[in-house]
Amino acid sequence: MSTTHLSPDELDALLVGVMSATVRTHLGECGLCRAVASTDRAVVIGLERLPRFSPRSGFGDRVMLQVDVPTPVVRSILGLKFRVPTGRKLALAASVAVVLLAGLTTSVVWSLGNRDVLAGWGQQAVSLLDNWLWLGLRALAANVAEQPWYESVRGLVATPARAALAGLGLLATWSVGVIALKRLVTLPTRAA
Amino acid sequence: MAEPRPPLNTLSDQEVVAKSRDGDETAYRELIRRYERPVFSLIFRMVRDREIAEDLSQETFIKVLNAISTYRPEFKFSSWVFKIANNTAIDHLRRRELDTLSLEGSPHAATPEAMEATALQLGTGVASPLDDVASRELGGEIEAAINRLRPEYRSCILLRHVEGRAYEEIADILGLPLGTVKTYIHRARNELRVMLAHLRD
Repeated sequence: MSTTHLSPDELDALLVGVMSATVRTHLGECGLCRAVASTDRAVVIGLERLPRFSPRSGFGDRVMLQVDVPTPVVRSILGLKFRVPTGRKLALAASVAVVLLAGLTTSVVWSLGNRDVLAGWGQQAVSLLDNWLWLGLRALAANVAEQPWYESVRGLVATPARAALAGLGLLATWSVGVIALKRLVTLPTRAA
Repeated sequence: MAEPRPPLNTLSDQEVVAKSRDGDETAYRELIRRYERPVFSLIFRMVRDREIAEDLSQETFIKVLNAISTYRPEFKFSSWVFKIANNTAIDHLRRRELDTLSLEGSPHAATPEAMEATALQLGTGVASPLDDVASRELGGEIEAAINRLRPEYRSCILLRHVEGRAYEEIADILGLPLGTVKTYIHRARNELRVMLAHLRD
């Protein structure tokens, strides 16, 4: 007689009616495993026969009172689906729209009543930007002129012939770059 | 002319969910109809109080249906529902620490009427009065034994042998490794076997 009793997996298999020859032989010899398998079966049958309980009537209605059912899908002319927001989403969207509309209306009304003030602010802003632009350009030019490589670069375009040569060189480099990039981004039309 | 719509009760869960996402209220009601009894039974057997089980079942369905747009169709809908139901029941048990449970009725029932109203009703749908008595007794013994199991074992054994779910699905529902689920179910069956051994005599 085998001293190893049935494993949990073998007991599981017995519950669904699967019995190997080894298990059958063991069950024939081992009273303990026979008892375990038989009680297991009785317990499982008892569990499977337990009734299902029902909640009180009107359960579905009580649940549905607290469920946000989305508005049915609306189909546009293009056949694209979209939903009208409901519940919290609708409230949020409406609040944002109201705030934006109120802000826009207030600014338009105020602007219409204070055109002179607006024009003054506009002129001030334009002159300020103008000043900043020129100051920036001057600072940039001064910086470039102070660089050690500035004189040698300037020497490259000192005569019209040198300037033309430098221009041609730049054009050639740019063209080679464009062609190389185009080749790189072109998709292969067939597998290699 | 529009094609006639098939009745909802002939559709799969996934198809009914798709309809509910389109805002079809009858699809929501169909999902409740399909799962109210399994969900309520599971929660009732977990918490042993009809009122609380009703509230928790309601909470489960409200969570499920309000989050229906986040449900991923590649998973079984029933697994998702049971997962939320089980988590809701376990959360409640942790909050209330309901250790002492009674088959005779809710531990919160204050009057005999309340005790009776919250007691488990067993043995429905049995052929003869004698069978009815036997079944009620056996059912009562089993219910009492389930009560004495740890909540994790209880969830596993109920899902496996009352709801008939596969091991893999139970692992998915409870968020546990498959091996742990198998171990829990075997231990639960061992405990039930010991607790119900006297019935064999």
